[in-house]
Amino acid sequence: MKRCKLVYGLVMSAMMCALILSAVSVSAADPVKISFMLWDEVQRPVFDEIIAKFVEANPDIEVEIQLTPWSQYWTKLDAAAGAGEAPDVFWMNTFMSKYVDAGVLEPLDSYIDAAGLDRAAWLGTTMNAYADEGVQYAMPKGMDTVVVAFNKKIFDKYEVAYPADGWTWDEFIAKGAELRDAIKTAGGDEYALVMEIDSAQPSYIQLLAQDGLAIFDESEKGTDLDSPDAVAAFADIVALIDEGILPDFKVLSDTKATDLFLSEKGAMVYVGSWKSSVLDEASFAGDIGMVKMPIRKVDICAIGGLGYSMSAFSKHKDAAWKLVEFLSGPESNRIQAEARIEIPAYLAEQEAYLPAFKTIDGSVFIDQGVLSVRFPSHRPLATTISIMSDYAGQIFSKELTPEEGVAAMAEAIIEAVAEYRADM
Amino acid sequence: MGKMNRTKYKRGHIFTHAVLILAVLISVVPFIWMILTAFKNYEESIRIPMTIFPARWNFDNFQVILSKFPFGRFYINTFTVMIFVILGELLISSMAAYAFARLDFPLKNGIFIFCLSLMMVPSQIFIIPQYDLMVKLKLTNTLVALILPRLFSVFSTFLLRQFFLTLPRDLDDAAKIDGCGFFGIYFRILLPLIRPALISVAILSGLTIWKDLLWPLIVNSSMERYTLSAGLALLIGEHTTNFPQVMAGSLMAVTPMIVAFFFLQKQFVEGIANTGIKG
Repeated sequence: MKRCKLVYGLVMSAMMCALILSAVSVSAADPVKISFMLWDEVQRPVFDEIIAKFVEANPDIEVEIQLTPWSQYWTKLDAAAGAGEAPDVFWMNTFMSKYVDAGVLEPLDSYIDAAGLDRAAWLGTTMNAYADEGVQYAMPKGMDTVVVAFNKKIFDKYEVAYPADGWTWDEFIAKGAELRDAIKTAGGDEYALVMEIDSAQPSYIQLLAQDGLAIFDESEKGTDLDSPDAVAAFADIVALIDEGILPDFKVLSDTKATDLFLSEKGAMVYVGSWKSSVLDEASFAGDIGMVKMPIRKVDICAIGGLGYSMSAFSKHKDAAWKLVEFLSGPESNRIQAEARIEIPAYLAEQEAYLPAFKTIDGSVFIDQGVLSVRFPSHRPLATTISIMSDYAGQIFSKELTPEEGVAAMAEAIIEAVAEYRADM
Repeated sequence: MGKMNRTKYKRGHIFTHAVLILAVLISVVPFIWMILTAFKNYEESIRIPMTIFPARWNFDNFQVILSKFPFGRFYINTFTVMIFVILGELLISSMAAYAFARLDFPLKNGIFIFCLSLMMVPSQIFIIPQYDLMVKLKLTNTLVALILPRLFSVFSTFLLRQFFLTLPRDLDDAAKIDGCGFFGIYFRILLPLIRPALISVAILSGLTIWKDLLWPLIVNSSMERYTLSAGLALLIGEHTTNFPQVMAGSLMAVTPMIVAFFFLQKQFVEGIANTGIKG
């Protein structure tokens, strides 16, 4: 009996201690404490620096950076938002509309107006990407574009002239064929062209956008992939494989196209600006040339880019807005550009991006974004984009012809959109 | 006659060894690859065709990781959680198992079957409700949040119950005659007899904590409260992953487990043989 009482007493006192400790830690929080969640470990040191600058300017605010890996980020945000515990400020991407519908995001327009910010200071495409039905739910962080990088050493070795800006799709195919023949004649083992066709953004999305398709939209059907214009992009990629300019789908899904390029096994590659620092760090960086993508019907690039959102559950909204304003503002844009981690969405700071490179010329990444559309998006994007890549894989591995594959892709997407609407 | 047998035996011998050597290769090569990659630089790690040995053995990756992450914290957190969970799980599960095996109370079988049915539900389903519970208890971002939900394990209870059932009731009766209560029978008579089963439970639950990834990442948000597995996951990027750094981190993370296995080899093997399953 005595022992029982002793154990009981110990447990109770331990619980009391825990309670007192937690009470102390709450009352000690004098400056406003807000949290900021992001997913990229590579960018975190840069954000440490930005936050230090922010805290210097706002000594009454304390910011805790929460780093969550990309593959668990959305699960964690879902769990935290469901419990009303989302971080005050967090990174957002094209999945935004899902969180708008769930009421997780704070509308920012009143804050933007109160701060007297000029929306035209940011690249319009990125600003629009984070507005939903006219309401701004995130401030742009940056932009990413896709360009063509080429290995000058391989071009020189086979005596093929470098590509030049303003080239058309036909000239691109001709260049690929010329390289292929030269490599074959000399018995080389390089590929004329590599492309990440296992991933949408640096490949077929760009081709489709240049063919004038919206791809995903908020219309009744939710897509225009059922139009006859949608087939050409996929058929052209299959033709590149058939003609031996592009390696088989199997090769490209086993090995990242950019890794093949970095191993000097590919003469040309469609590459996203998010790989820019990897290119700049390559041992043959001095021999990497870059041009804009070859033009199909329209000279345009579908650009992505992240944004900063504020939680609708934040207990310190004014402090959270101050952080969002600072993060999307000129100083933060400049620091990120100088660290080479982002092309600024804040136009006045874009020039800070170029001197950041040690060897390669990053200006093409910015030029490519001048004529741009936002990365195609609509509410059921999480489902529809994976339907798209499933069928794209089947087309590229030749299980389906481009005509069959695109028709089935469009049908499945329209069905998924209808299902999503029925559930809402 | 004898000669023929011997060649037959030898042939069988060679075959067995070939299979064993193949199995060893399959399990050891990834480890060796991890070690080699940890000393390469990024470009070497993605080079095609691949290079086996790093051009220059450098410790840069280890330095980068140690400067970027509080690795010492990760170790301390992991061990703290492991110790509390193992001790707590052994105590709670063995008491529950004893009750299910020896005591009579209303709805005993019903409750036991209900507990077993929980094993059929994938654990991911509990993550969101568990998280809500932790928020309500104000325990998010604490080590307690990593320990509390792991203290009771249906599987361990089931396993220990089966072991209790194999012990003869005569032991209980003899103890009762000598004046032992339920707790005495459980603690002083039966528990020492199922020691091998307790070791199995300890090893399996320790491994589970070591490998657990999603829960620590969901419930905790500051790096100071992460475990080793969660800390390693931070190195996986959205677009680019620096494999040599990941491998350097993995090497540091698995080393204590390998050392532990070295010293506790016998118990590890027995523990897994006892349960008849692989962890």
